[in-house]
Amino acid sequence: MTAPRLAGVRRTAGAIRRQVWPTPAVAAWRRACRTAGQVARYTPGRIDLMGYRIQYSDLLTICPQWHDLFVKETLRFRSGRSAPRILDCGANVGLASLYFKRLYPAARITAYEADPTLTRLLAANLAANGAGDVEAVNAAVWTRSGPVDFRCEGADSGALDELAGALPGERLAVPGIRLRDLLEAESIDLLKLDIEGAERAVLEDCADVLGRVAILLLDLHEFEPGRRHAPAVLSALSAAGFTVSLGELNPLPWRPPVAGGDTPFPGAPLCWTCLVKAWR
Amino acid sequence: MSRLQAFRYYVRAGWRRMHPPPAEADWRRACRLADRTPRHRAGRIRLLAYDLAYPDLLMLCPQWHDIFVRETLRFRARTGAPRILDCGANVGLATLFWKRCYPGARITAFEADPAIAAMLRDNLARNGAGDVEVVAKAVWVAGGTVRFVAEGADSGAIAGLSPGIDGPSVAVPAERLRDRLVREPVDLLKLDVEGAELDLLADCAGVLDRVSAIHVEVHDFTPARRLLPAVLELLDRAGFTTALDDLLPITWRPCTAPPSPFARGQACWLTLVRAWRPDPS
Repeated sequence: MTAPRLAGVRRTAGAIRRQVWPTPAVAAWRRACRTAGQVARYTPGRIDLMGYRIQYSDLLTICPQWHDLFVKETLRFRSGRSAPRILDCGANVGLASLYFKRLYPAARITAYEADPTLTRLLAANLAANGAGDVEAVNAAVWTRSGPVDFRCEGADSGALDELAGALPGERLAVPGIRLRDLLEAESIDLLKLDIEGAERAVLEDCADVLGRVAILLLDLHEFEPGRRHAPAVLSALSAAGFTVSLGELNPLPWRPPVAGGDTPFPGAPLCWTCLVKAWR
Repeated sequence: MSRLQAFRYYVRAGWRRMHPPPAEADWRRACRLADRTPRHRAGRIRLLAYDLAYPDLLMLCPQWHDIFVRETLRFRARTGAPRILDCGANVGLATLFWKRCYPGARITAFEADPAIAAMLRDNLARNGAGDVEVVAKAVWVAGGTVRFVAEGADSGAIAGLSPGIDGPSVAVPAERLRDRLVREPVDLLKLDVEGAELDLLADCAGVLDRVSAIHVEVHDFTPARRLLPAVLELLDRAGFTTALDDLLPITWRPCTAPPSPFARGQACWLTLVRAWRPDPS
């Protein structure tokens, strides 16, 4: 057998082996996807995934979160400290905090979630899975403190009401918290920011205190073709002395863009999210 | 996915595997052939109705897949004869694709590597695109000559711009892209110029209003000097709407990466940026 053909056979054999004997994380993900296919969307419930007992508001959005965090490990990072200080902004039901705790059991984490219902699930999930020392805070990370209007989409897309592209949902006044104040108070080893379109304003507000952040994991949400965040955000990070890298690019073809959908490129996705990793 | 959906999915995938569309079938055949051919061996292959000369079959396969299977260069022109600049034309697949969509397209194809430019000229002439203007020059921020590292396949670059591509360089003629744009407006500007894209766009910043749409491959191979933030900011300022697509981590290229807190595949990547002018209405 020629070498390339042997390589091909090996590849196929490997794919079959992974399909038949998946890793525990993959097996859990497949089970979650199968279950999600059988229940209606936005049905709250509880599922056991790889030893974690997870309460959720919508199983379908747990699946890609689980896959990114525990299968692909997109947020894996190395820290010089055994107890890194982590801010998990946009914590949803807590999978990212649980993942960070798995990496660094002594990590000192504060998790912010704006949706009050999700914050309750977040606190319950942290307590039920040995991460009771993680502080769960019901607050929208924003450019000012005080109450802000938040659209509770109910799953993973709740956003501040004043942002273009906020999806329909119950509108609630939730406590806002200014990230700048948090960064002025202490140095952060890892800042995870997944705040559905608020990231540009928040990072611009924090421009001159970004020096207090060692590593930034940022979900960039681009829903508005006429006003992209990437140019300003990437330039601000470069200006703050970060080395940046793009991790994952997820086109969102199902999401209607906010105006400006007229493009001569039929193949171009108009809305997407992108994981930006920045470090010093 | 329910069981029935999963069943349907696998049946469809199997069916597609057994009966691929012609462009995909030809791509598979090319890949199989490339597996058995040593790298950097020039040859000829027939893909769909095209008779194509290539310097390296392995590099032709992803190009064919992107352009003729996924059709990433598909472009809706306002006229039947759009004016297109194909900068970094390689052996001409992009130009042939546009000619297939718009037989009346007026295309100029630039290729800096002299050997590949000769193949480009032959490929276009042989495949009914003889009216395309082929310019065997590097597009750059100045005319005259530049030192060019002819890697021989799809990664040749102006010396010093593309880390890891640092063999012996040759002097090749260069043309200033800005001069072209000053001379005539362009419907589509394609830039696949291996690290020169930021310098080129910056040089053209004042005349970008003469360009309706841009398709640029951003080669971010130097962690300390990222091109993407500046490219996006420049296009934004010039009034373009931008869209990112096709993020490709380049794990096989040696690139000087400073210590990073992340596992791997973070240092070098390639992104496709499309830019267009928003509809004035």
